[in-house]
Amino acid sequence: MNASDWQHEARAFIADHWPGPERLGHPGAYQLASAGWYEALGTAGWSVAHWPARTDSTTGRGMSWSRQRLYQWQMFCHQALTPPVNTLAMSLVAPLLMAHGSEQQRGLLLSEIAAFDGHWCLGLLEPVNAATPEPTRLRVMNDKILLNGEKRALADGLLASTELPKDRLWPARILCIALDDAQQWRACLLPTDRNGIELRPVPNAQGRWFHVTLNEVPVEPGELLTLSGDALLSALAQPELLSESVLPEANSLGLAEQLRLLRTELTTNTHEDTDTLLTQLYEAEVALQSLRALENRALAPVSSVLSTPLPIPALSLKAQELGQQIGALQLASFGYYALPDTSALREHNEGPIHPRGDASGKTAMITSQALSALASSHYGWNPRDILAKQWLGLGQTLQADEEPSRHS
Amino acid sequence: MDFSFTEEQTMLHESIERFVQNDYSFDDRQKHAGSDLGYDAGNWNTFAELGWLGVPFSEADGGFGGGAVESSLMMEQFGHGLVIEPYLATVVLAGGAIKHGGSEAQKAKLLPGIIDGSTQAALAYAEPQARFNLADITTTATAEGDGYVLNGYKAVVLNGPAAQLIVVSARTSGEQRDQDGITLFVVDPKAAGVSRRDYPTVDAFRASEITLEGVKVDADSVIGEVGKGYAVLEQTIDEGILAIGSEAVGCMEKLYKETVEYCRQREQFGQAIGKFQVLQHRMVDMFMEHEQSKSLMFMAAMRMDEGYGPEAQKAISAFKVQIGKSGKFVGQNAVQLHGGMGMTEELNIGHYFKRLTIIDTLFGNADFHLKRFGAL
Repeated sequence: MNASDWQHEARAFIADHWPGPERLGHPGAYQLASAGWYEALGTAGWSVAHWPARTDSTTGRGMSWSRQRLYQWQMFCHQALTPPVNTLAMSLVAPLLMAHGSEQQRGLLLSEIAAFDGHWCLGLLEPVNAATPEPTRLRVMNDKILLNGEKRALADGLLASTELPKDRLWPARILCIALDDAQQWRACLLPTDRNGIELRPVPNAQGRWFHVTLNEVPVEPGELLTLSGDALLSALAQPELLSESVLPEANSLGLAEQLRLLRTELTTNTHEDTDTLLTQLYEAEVALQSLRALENRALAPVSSVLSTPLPIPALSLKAQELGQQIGALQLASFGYYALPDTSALREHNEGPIHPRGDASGKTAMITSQALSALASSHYGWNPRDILAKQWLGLGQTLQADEEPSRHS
Repeated sequence: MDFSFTEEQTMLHESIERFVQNDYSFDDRQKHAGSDLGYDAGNWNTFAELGWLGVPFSEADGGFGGGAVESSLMMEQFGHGLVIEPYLATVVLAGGAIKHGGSEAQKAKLLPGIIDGSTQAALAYAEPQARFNLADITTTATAEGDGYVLNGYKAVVLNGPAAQLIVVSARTSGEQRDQDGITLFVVDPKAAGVSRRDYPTVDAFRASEITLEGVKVDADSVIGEVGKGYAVLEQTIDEGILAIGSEAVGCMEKLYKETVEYCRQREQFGQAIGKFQVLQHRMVDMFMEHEQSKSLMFMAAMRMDEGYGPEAQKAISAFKVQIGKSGKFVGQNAVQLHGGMGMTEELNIGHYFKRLTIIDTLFGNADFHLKRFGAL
């Protein structure tokens, strides 16, 4: 299939299976449509278009799309504001399993991930207000392996909300990190309905976090990854090093849309600060060009001209910074109209407040989301720490921080 | 953006990289920068022999047939070595104006000397009152007989002291800041009425103030159409921006890598200073600034190769804004992290910083190009 035909097919697939946010006013409707979207992806096999096209029984469904095609696919999805295709399971758990999972683990879990049958959350960070100062422990007692502790677990963006029921999009599995008796970090791959595991959504700006209590949770040996210690932490920090199928996130498109709306707002509703704000808008637009160029560069093959690949954490860092820059500019451009929490109005099925026109309304909604405390988190790691240690060689051991808010 | 480089591009990149690494030491560079000529004639001949002086010119004109990508790859390597030879002034600026505006006869007459290294050249486009506006020209060219008479003053002409050929922008009609009415002329710096005041620049290059008093040139000296020189000038300067921006990318890579290496070795309080998180983050930010600049370099070069127009101009201005901001950040932090050493003449760090600072100013600084970007 040539590039043009493929693009047509990809856009048609999205149009057929995703109704678009304008028709999904309430989060409940969004949730339902998200489940349908993931089901369609899984049925069509487009969920794992980026996996290797192996035919063995453990993975077997990949399509080996080129990185450029995958990136385009992500951009189309971003453009249509679909639920994330690059989920935590796809971008972190699957590469980890492919590289370090046992045959049994791969056979069970990869096909489930490919079909979006079970969503995952990542139990890496621990809350500062945990009941005990101890980290989560994995202990052998009476020939049983038991997990105890608390986690602040990260799930995919829109899959969790404090107001949503436990349905298909509720995290079905958790990748949980704990210290064993030999003081080594271990990774447990567990179903969340296991006895002793309790998940409670944490109210915050985007509802992506769960408080997880682990109380005498039994763990089977087959549920542990063989990879452990610093090597495990490094792999978690940079899953892209495990597999070429992990792609840079196409963030630039969503940010471009924000800037487009902001430009409309600034040129439509002029006031005495307009010139200053327009200068800041141009700065953000240059930064967007820079992010786009970085995203394209990250897809470039290694050659003697570009002898090292661009690390994906660099993209995360740039996207975060630009998001913050745009957020600040949005606030500055709105004046008092930065105050209404438009996403809260939306959740209660009320109309948005946009006395200055539709662009204002849409931008205000995005601004509200941009204020999320998660703006600078990369699965809980600070991208600067990853880049310093893994790419600049400034130190050996990568330590996870304790609380996501510390990265913000 | 297609990052699959051709075999020719790869070979060009590798050959310049080898030269800079093996044959262009910082000490030699400093020695040549301090010489009467201000650069090394031997190096210039080597550039000619290796075909580098012909890279941006078409094969029909005796060149390599390269485009913006080739120019960027080359200048980036020059940036690594802080190359002092006047490639920008002679090949990119003066050569570029002739390439874009010159007749076939002018190209046949003037370009071979530039390509074989026998001609040094300069572009005299700036004037004291103009700041960064290319159209702000008070130098006049008045038709007289079969030719023109030039009167005026051109500021900070790069490579002016060595130039054997100068392309001068002058007003043949219109008001002081009109884009119409600007004409480009080839002027012999030894012609009657041309006087120069030469000086070194803070980044160790050479420049001149040039006064034109009743300088007579013939009609064949006009490059392109009379009164239509602005378009040629604008495109040439945009290519100049790509060239110096690419050079800045090379400078920044050198600075951040040397800073990282220094911080891994320099010990304070019983450990390498590179282990302190606050310094690590600063070096990551230097790395990020370099990577962003490099990525925009490729974007701008590819846009230029797709065809010169508003999209390419916008990409060039975005690149220049980034270079200005990033160069300042990387340079300042490299100096800062090297401590007092960063300020010394013996260490290369401060010299790279000076070059980056000048690059921000050349052809319009970051503020100027941010406005241009917004207006395009």
